[in-house]
Amino acid sequence: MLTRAEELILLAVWRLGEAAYSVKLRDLLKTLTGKSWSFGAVYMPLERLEKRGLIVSTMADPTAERGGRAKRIYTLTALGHKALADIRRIQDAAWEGLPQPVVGFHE
Amino acid sequence: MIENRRHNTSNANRLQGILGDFTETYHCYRQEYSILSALVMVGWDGLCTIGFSLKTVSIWRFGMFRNFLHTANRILKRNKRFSALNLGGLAVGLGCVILLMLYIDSEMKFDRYHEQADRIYRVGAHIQIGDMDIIQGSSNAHMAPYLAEHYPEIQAAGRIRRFSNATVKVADETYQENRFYYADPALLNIFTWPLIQGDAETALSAPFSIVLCRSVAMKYFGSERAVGRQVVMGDNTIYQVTGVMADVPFYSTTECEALISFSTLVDQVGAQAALLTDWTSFNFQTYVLLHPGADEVALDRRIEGILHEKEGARLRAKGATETLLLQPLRDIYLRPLGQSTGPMTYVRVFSAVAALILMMACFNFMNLTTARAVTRAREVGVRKTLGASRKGLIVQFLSEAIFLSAVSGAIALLLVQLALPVIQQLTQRPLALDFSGMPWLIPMLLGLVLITGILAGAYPALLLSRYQPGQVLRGRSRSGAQGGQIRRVLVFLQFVISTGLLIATGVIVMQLNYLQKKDQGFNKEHVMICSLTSPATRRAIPVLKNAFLSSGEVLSVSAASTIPGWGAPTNDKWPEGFTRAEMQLMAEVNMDEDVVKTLGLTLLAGEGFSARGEGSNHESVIINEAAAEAFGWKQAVGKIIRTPDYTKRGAWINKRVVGVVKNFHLRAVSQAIRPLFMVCDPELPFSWGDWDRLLVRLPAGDQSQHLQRLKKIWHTVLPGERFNTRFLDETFDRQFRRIARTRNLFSYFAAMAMVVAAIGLLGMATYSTAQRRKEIGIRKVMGSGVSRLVYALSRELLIVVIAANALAWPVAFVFIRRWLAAFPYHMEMTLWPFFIGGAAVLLLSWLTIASQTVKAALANPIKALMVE
Repeated sequence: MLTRAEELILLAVWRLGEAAYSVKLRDLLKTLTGKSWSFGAVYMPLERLEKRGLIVSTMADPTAERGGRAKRIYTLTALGHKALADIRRIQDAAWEGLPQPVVGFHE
Repeated sequence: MIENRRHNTSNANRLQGILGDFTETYHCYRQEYSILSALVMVGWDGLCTIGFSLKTVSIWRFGMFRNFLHTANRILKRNKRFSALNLGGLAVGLGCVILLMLYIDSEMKFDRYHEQADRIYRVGAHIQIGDMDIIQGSSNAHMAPYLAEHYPEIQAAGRIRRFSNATVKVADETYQENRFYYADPALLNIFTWPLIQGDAETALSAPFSIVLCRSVAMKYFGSERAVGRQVVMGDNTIYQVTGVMADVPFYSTTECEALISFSTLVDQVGAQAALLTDWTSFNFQTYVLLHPGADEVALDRRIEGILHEKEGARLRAKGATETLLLQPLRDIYLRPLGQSTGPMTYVRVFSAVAALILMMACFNFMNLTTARAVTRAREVGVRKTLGASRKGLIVQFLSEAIFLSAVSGAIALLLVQLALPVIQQLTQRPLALDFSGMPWLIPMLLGLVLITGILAGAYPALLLSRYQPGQVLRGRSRSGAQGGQIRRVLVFLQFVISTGLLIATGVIVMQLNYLQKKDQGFNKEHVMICSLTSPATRRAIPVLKNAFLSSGEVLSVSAASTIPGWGAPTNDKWPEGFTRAEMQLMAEVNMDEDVVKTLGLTLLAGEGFSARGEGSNHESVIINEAAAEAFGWKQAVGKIIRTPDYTKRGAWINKRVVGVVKNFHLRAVSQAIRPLFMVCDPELPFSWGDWDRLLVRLPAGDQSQHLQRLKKIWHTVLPGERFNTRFLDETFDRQFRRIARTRNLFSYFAAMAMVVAAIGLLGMATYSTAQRRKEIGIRKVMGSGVSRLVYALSRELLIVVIAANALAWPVAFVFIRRWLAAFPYHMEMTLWPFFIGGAAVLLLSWLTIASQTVKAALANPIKALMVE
């Protein structure tokens, strides 16, 4: 099973495609969750996901704004795609037949 | 695009990714915030990241370590300001040290790229004639073949000689090249100058062969194959391109762009030319490659006497001693021969600065950590009561300190990354945190962090772990008095260092400014230098001169063999009243009759060269004050000086002194002025001081219009020749750039040292004021005024500062005097930098302390006394 952070990051990697590297991932996670993420909170799950073979990383060409340093770009593997599909399936199954939770006024 | 990417999960890549992320984030913040806020935000990001990463490392699962981390974390959080000062001070200090290391590394890197660098030596010569004592790095044309043949420990030997001011024609384009060299084929085996195209064995054999560097080949021929093509140089001489060489690395003392076969030079000047046959004319750099394991000291001793073996009679006759010597390749950049200062001097200075900054940062860390010991006495008591051993506590405090220094190290790395563009600009060097190119960097950083942590943690660890639980839990803390002594000593040492650095900075800046402002003895403003590269242009000198003068655009024109700032070769001279065995060495330049006017020299005696048309100038010579003084001549005009006839060996020519000029700087201002022998002789042979440039004095004002018109005149006189000009002041200012770079670098780091010291002091002031809150409260209640309180609180630190000055002054004085003595011309030693340095440190420290004490003194005493 993936943790919540790993799940979100895996999804973010898929969503960003070619632009999936730590800075952009962190930005996306921030807009998605509305909370600020430290780089550590991004690196660590990425490392674990890579170790488990769900994503692979490649070094892209260096750019000037990064002080001439290369980006590390992540891509989903087949295993990663399968993991995302599994999550979706389990989530859908668990939600099946339930009404949306009420978000609204509290006393 | 995917294919281009390297698939790699190495640590270097990981680090590169992380550093890149932070740099990018910093630039992102910069778009919205000021530099300072952006730095703080990135720093905070870094701290969060380190925190998060550490949390997930498995070592913390072990109880003891987890507990330590918790404690460290809580302590950091409990007093955020204190922690920020502690970590920030160390990070700034470590960052400075890393930057200085990068700079020092770049200085040490010169010529190390040669794979056989350790076995390569340059043959130099030590010449003593009369009072002159010259050590220099060039040798005669015989040395390379002679050494290779007679000394079995030498594997290869090769000569090299600069071919300056080459005009190269390729197809319809003309290029001006300054970094071409004549070179022996053996040089390609000695140096690591690999050929990309062509055969290294034969490329430099035939006359008129040329090997181009890759970038030059690209410039001439684009991407086409260069080997087999032709280039035209000088008077329509065709050179065959026989090879293309990889570009010479940035860190090379020989900034070579093309090699021309040595046989070309032989062909050009003739095998019998003095340049190639005279054993005592030093016009070539000779490099030798020793066999592995050869004894260079023994070899050095064996080659010493070669010149006397060959030319003993001649040398004895003129009373000269000339010995050969070997200089290791790696010393050529760092320790220039015959100069008392060189890059090595500054490497030492900067290493000392790095060590001092590291020491100050460590002192801060120790001070602040021990200062806080009191507040942690209870913790030690509780731990001991619950069964912690002293050893366990030592481990706890040490690992805490190492942990903190590691965090500072990480922040320092970030600061370095952000400061690099500034430092690159400042040093004009491609410095970088290049972890793969400098394999020593990571171990060095880890070592630095570990040593700092241990040094900073050792004292608090030993002190705190000694507390007796009974005493500290009862509330009697002894640390205040004990630690106080040591803290005072550390603060004292810190002030000694920062005051000393500040004084040294003052003197270095003043001395370098002195050199820059020193009267050069000539007027460098509005003098244009016009290169005469081809023989055709040199033949046109009289015509050009006339055309320029009659146009009314110029004030004066002179043909010249060199320009001030570049120096001149020294040759044997035989002045009147000396015996043949008392030969003198003089710098020889060849300038035409208008030189005094063109360069704005001052004639102290005599008339100078006669005006045009009265042809006795080739029998005349102008000398400088230094020469008159060296020969003991009160009345120099009319004396005879004999000079060798360069066209006939052993023959002498008489020259009559017609003028004495005020000393002027022909060489760099950091070097002494030598006796000067200034002739006016259009007939001097090639490479013996023939005229190869025009000095043109223009009227003040807008130069570009004059230049345009002069260019037109040039092209009417010499159609198809390149009009290549520079200005004397620009050329001259170039020699100050290095000086200015060193000066700025030193001032920046001295300023950073002050920042580190101030951070430490601020921490101490915060701490000691907090300690004395009650005392202040009581004093205030008893009726003490604010100013008296501030005085009471600052008195101790001010005494320390004054005592530090008392030690720093004499120490700084000794070092500065030694440093200044290395310059032949230096400023008067004054006490100003001492007063200013001392006052600045005093003011800065007082302001730092005052920021805390005034606040404490103004506070409501009830607040302090209420607590308990």
